[in-house]
This record gives sequence, C-alpha cells and structure tokens, in this order.
Amino acid sequence: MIRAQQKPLVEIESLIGQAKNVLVLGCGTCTAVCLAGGEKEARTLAAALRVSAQIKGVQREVRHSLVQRQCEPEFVREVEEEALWADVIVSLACGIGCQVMNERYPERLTVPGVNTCFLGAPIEHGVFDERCQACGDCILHLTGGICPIARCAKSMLNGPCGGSQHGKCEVNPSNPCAWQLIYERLLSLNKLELISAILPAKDWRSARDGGQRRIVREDVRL
Amino acid sequence: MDRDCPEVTIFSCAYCGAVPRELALRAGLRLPASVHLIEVPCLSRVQADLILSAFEAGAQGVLLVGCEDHNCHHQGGNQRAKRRFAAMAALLEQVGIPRTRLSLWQGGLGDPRAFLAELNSFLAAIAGSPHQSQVAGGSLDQGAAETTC
Ligand code: SF4
Ligand code: SF4
Repeated sequence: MIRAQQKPLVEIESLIGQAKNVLVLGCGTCTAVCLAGGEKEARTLAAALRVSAQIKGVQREVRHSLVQRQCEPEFVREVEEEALWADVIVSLACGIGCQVMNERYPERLTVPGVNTCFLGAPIEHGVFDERCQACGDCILHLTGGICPIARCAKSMLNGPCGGSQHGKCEVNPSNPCAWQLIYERLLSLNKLELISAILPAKDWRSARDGGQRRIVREDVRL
Repeated sequence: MDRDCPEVTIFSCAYCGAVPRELALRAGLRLPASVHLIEVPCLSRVQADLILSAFEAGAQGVLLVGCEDHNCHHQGGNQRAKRRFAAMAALLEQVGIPRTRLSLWQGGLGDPRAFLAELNSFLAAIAGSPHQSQVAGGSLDQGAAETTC
C-alpha cells in the first residue's frame, strides 16, 4: 500500500493561511492503514487546528470528514457539500487523493496534509518498509521475490555491488543488502542459477523516465 | 475554594490504576468540582484526539492515571500509554499548550497518598501557586482525604 506521514502542524497551518473555513479530509484506505490520514487522524488534526486557532485568537472553523477512497472521483463526490463549504481543504490522503480533490473541486484549493513516502509493507506494528517503486516491468520472479529496484540503494539489476558488507548495504548499513537477501532466497529455493544470469539493461521508459504514465483498458471503457 | 481550582480532566484506568475511584469510595476523597474524572477500560485507549477534546472543552490540564509498569490488567496497555504520552505531549506543544499541562501518573491502589500528592502538585503547577501543593489534613487511613483546592 501507499505509505505516508503527516506533515508537522506548523507546516499545515502555513498551508491553510488565513482561511476561515477548513475541512480536514481523511482517506479510509492506504493512509488510514499507515495511521497517517484515516478518520482518527483527521479528527485529531481538526481538533489540533481548532485548539491552536483558539490559543492564537484566530477566527477559524475546522471540520473533518472521511472519504473511503480519495483517489477515486466517484468517492469524492460524496463530500461535495463539505468541500464547497470550505475555503481550504487539507487532504490526508496520498498525493493522488489530494490531486483528485483538486480536479473534482477546482474552485477550492486542496492542500496536502501528509507527505506521500513510498509503496511499502508493515514489517512490525508501526514500522513500514519500502517494497516497490512501480517500475512498470516487474522482475520479482527473477529475484526471489525481492525487489532490487526499490530495496537496493543503487537499483542494481546484477548485484551485489562491491560494497555489500556482512549482509548490510554500504549506502545505509541499517538496511539489509537487497542482493544478499536475493542470494539467500534463491539459495533456499535452489534457484541460484538465476543470480548468475545477467539481466539486460532495463527499459526505464515503463518507469518514471518516460514521463507521466497511463494505463488504458479498452475492454472496460464506457 | 473550587473557584480558584483549575479545570482538570483525569483519564483513569478502570482496573489496577483506578486510584481516584478507590480513594472516593474508601477514603471519601472530595475532588473539586473543576476536576473531572473519566474512567477508561485501559489508559492506552486515551489518544491525542481525546486529550485535545478535553482541552477544547475547557480543561487547563489533563492528568493520565494508569497502573504500575508490572501490573497492567491488559498486559501492556500501560506501556503503550507511556509510549504515546511523549508523542501526545509533543503534539500539544505544537498546538501551543505547554507540555506540563499533560501529566502521567502510574501507581497502584495501595498508593493513594502518592496520587493525592501528584494531583495537588499538578493542580498547583497549573494554578501557578506552590502553596496549594499540599495534601489537605485528615488521614487517609481514617477516610478523610481531599485536595487543597
Ligand atoms: S520490479 Fe518494479 S514493479 Fe516489481 S516490485 Fe520492483 S519496482 Fe515494483
Ligand atoms: S550494498 Fe547491496 S543494497 Fe546496497 S547498493 Fe550495494 S548491492 Fe545495493
């Protein structure tokens, strides 16, 4: 899922500026699961903004609401009344949800209340690790199910590099070397021949390097 | 006396750390009218949203009362509450509420004097008058305890 972290309150307040009516809009999917922007976080942020305004003597009404999936135009339609009431909307969804809100309600500015960080998984309660960079041409079947694009600091396709030490990455020794993990996994699967095979240079056009990407499913278009 | 007593909300654990309730039952503690006691099934239930609600409703301070480290009815709720405490205090500071307006006290049912001392010093710190931080006369053993507000 998409992982995000809430921005500091002072930054969110500066994004709100002088707005009188503020809607804090949570998302019930990815940012709820990573505890950055679900219903509880939206409620807490709205209360924090209200108390802060009260202390500073700022006249401001802050409400909060939730959209189950802020990245889908159909879902954000549900908050039309609240969105149009607000001068500024603080989105606690990922950058996708924030942009969908701006597209659906162009007459209102929706500002990001979170920093969208990466696609990842929880490795323990409250700890999330990056797992995928959405490169558009998945090779996990060749690397023992471990992504070298997202988890190797150099996104090497034929690793490890010369800096792998004691199973740790030379770039950030608190991270395991992805290629060490790949080696161990292929060894346990009895597929070590895969690590000897040279992977050809990757066509990065399917990743970010070709600009904004689009998927078209002609079979389901209306 | 309650007129000068700050508005304080106490969130208290309903099990091993239910000292305020026990004090009321056994020792006849009279909490000032401005001190509101809210019992929760576990102190770990008290998160930033509840604390901010208390401040929004007019509290000048929030006191969290939970069980001792080794004595949680829910096997670790108190540890969770402790970890959250630091984050909640940091959030309050961002909001503009001094950290000192939020306090955590952990103790057992056999520790009523320590609780009263904590409550009084918390009330005094908020009111800004150190002379109030004395447990009022009477004996807890004989069932007469009150705060100094
Ligand atoms: S290879 Fe590409 S699509 Fe597959 S997990 Fe890695 S970044 Fe994601
Ligand atoms: S040490 Fe391992 S993870 Fe780090 S850059 Fe080299 S190959 Fe990649």
